Amino acid sequence: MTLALRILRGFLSLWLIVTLVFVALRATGDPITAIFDPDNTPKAALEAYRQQWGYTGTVFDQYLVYISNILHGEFGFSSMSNRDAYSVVMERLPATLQLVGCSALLMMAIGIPVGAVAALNSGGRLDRFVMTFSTVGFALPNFVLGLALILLFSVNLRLLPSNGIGTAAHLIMPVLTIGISKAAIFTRFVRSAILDALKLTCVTSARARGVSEWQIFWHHVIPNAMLPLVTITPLLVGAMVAASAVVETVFGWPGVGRLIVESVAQRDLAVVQMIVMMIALVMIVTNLLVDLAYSKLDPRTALAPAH
Amino acid sequence: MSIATMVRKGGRDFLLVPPGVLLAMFWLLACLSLVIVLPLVSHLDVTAIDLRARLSPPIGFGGDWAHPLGTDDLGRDVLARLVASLRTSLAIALGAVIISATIGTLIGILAAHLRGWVDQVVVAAVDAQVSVPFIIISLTLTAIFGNNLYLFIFILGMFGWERYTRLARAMTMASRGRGYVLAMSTLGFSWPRIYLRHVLPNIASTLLVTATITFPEVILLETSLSFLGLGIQPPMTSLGNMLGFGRSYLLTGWWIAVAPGLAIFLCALSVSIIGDWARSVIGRI
Amino acid sequence: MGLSMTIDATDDRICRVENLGIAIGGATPVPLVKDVSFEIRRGDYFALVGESGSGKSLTCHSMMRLLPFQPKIDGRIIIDGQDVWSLNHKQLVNFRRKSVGMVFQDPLAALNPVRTIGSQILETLKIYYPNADDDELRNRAIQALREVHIPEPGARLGVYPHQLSGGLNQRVMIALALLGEPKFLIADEPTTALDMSVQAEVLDLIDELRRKNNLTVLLVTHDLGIVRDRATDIAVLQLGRIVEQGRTAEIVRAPKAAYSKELFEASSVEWPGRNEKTRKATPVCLTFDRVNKTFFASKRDRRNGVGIPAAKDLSFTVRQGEIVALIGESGSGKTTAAKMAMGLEKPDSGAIIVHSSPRDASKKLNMQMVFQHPRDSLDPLMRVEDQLHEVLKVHGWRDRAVRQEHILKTIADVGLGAHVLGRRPTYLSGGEAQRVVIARALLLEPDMLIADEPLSAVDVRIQKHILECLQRLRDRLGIAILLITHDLRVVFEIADQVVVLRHGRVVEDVPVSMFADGARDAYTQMLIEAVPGKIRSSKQGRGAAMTAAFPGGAAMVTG
Repeated sequence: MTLALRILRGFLSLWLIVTLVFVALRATGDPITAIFDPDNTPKAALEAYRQQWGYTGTVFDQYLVYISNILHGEFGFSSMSNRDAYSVVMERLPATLQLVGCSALLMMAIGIPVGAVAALNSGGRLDRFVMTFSTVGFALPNFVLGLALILLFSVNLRLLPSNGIGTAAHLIMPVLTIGISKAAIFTRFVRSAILDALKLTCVTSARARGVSEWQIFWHHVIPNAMLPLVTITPLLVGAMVAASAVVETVFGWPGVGRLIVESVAQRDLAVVQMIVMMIALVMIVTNLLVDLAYSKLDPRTALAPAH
Repeated sequence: MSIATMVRKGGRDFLLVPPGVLLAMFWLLACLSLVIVLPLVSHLDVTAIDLRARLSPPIGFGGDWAHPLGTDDLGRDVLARLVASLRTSLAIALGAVIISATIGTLIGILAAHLRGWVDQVVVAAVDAQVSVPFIIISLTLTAIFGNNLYLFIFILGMFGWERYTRLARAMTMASRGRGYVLAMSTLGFSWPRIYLRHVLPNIASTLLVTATITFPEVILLETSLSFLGLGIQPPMTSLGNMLGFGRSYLLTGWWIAVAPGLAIFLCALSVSIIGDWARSVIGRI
Repeated sequence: MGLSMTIDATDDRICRVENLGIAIGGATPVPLVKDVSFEIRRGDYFALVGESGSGKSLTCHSMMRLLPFQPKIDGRIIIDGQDVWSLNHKQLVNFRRKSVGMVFQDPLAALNPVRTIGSQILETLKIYYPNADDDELRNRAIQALREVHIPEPGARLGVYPHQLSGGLNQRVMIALALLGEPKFLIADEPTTALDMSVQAEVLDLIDELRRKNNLTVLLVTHDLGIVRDRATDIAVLQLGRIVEQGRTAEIVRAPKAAYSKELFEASSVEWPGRNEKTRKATPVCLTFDRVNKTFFASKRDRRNGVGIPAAKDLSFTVRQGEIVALIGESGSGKTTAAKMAMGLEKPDSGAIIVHSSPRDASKKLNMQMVFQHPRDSLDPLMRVEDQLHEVLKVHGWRDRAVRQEHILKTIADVGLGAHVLGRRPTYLSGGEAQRVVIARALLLEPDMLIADEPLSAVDVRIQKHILECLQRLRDRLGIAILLITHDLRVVFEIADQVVVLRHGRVVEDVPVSMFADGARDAYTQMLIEAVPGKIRSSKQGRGAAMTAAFPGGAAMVTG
């Protein structure tokens, strides 16, 4: 498949999701009555909203208006904060990016070296310790770990603030929570990717030629281990997004994750659909980038430059 | 090839169940029997209020045997609520896994059998499901359709369907391509007979391991949503909403949060350990 | 290097394996190789022979300390004056660089898939010429590829392994193994993963390099034909022990151990097998009439008509009571032909006529199929008995006692005892499993069998049993058999008629007695010449065939 085709497919997925959201919103009935109490709002005001957000005409007309609104960045009106949804979400975005970015760095800082060391000592005591840590980390839900950290550092030791944003100290516990729990999964992936690469015949054959272990690791093991690792990136991005919803709620972090939880509880559909589309866009772009990276790393794929 | 088989021959000791796995099994059995037996011997009243013993700590921290794990701010017994929550969470998780495994497997086998555009659609759906975080889908559905128990069970019952579909499809295709399935079709066996009598039993162990690995994730998803107040609603109680509730009392009554938190952790851990072990015994996926 | 490198000038043994034992596991080690001893003199072509699981690969990997697990080693391996298992890490790396080269079974796997051929050669060359500049290294790399007769060596440096054919990759692998100019080459099943015609080319290359560079070769193989043709010495391994060793000529002439006797008998080719010059005039069972079938990799290829032809004007017939061998290399379309005959694939054009049953003209001919992997074509969870009963049940046999009687009779027909009925497929040997599969096909009393590579997944000795079984079916029950195979030796053994396929076309359709008369199509001739282990008529004929216009190994896969 060519690159253009992949991008086209990305757009197609995006369009599909936008349409699905539209259908789901319409399936629940008149969206205006879902937002406003029809008994306590003047008819004229309701009508004005209908006009403003394109809820007039046939369903198809509404659909066209809907698409055009989204292309213009108008996702509707947040009933919770009385502003347009776009600005509500955008002002929360930096906090989430900061949290997720730091967590991703922590995850890789733990996962790559620990996973590599475990793979190189496969079966040894260190490996078993790492695997145990990984299993425990996997079973420890974000909110339990977060609350445990609060109980330890905020309630007992009174070292760190349990809630809010602002200083570096506020960042420590949420980043630890996401970083550690995702590192538990990532370490396992790194370990198995390297372990699989170590078992390749081409590694054995390089060893038989007397290539040094250092060169074997960097030139034969790592390039092959990168392939499965690249493909799990979307999975990790998704896991980060999911984790931020929970962890931001636990630590009162004013990001998009907490916003979506609040919006769902308040049924603020405009904000929810904006966030959903944003996440969809992120996932689609991630997948596209992964495809690109994979074709750069693996000459066997169809996207790779021809020789 | 020959080396690999020989190495496998050498590693016969996997039939011994390692102590960690035994411990995990023991814990799960204990939980199950507690959940089943305790309501029979003493009636669990999750809403009974003991106003004289509000925020009473557990035994060992100044509490007494009237409330072994202490009480919450309304004077409700934490142990009673914990058992009831455990029951809800385990039952929901088990039900959800059974639903998604059944549906996912059927879709997978059908896709592999029908091929053509049905298969294309299924593959596309699986890809789409994998690329969007599941918790976002469940949040969106909750936002659109409002919060109710049936929707919640439906959502959890969808979780992980794509894994079974993918596995069942791949394994069915593999067996279709060259093996006994091809042989049987040339011998005049009907497709339902081949799939139900021969293919399914042969891929069941792999699917079962997948279910075991998915189980802790379902527990975590249910407790996460309930914790966020978007799952099980009061007066029902699950481990997640019990923890979400206890979160407000970390300063005055830490045990209210610690008890369900530990329970979630230990249950998820036990099933993960058993799942990992089962996977290593089967040696694939 | 010091002491360990000093070589006794009078000692012409480059490799000594003394009482080698390999075991795996901790507290109670499982022995895999037991008390293996042999010596290889300089210039020898030493073959280590055995069936799968005999420990031959383990032995040769242990000679380079390349075992994939932590083994318990007994005895000594001394190569080039060095005790391999007592070397420290630095000495070991040096030993691998200078003393031994190694070639692996699957060349595509043995080369790093994500790096170019050139970068892998240069990486290895840098070890030997640390001070050389890029131009010099590149020239040396090209020279190395030229040594193994790779056409356009300069262009090949920038190519990835998957863009080359298996034969070319194996040549690259050989070039890599010899970069350090070792005097000893270990080749672990170097041709098993290759097509028949390419096998001979690679083996010829090893022969040539052996002469030119004074190489000593240790060849690990299960193919006794190769051994008979080329090796100077043989050691036969069975279940981790050496059962016989000595000079090739002596062992081939008079093998002493019962096991090696059996092995050599099973692998010998009767050349040619049958003498009837004309075809039998029995009723026709199956006719392929100008059948065409093309596979397309994608929709676009289908539009543009760029496809892989699996059948082109494919015409042949199978008659009652004869075995027709359909032969060809992988990708020649032989399996597709079988699938089309069974109705599992539809032809694009042309007709596949399944005639009426020769026994009862009112009935349709009953055709059954036997598959390549016997264990794979049985349900692993069900006992053999239940599976056989099920087949009859599906076809309306209600009475259990009648079914049982029929099953016992059929099991006896394929030469099996009733004891296999109670077992699950896992507990059957490869040969038993294949015969159970044949028996299952016979239960429905077919007029014709299609057997798709029924021998390729079983060991040599068992092949013999299955061939006898097929022969018996033809001679006693008059069943027509379409035998699909890539192994010409099988053809000589039992076939009546030979159909050679190449790229979906029939290039030959003759009685087997005329097959080897030397007057065949050039491609067929090359296949015949490539058969290892046959008694060759003349050396010249061989050379002529190899220079024929079919450079199978040199063909580059379009990339």
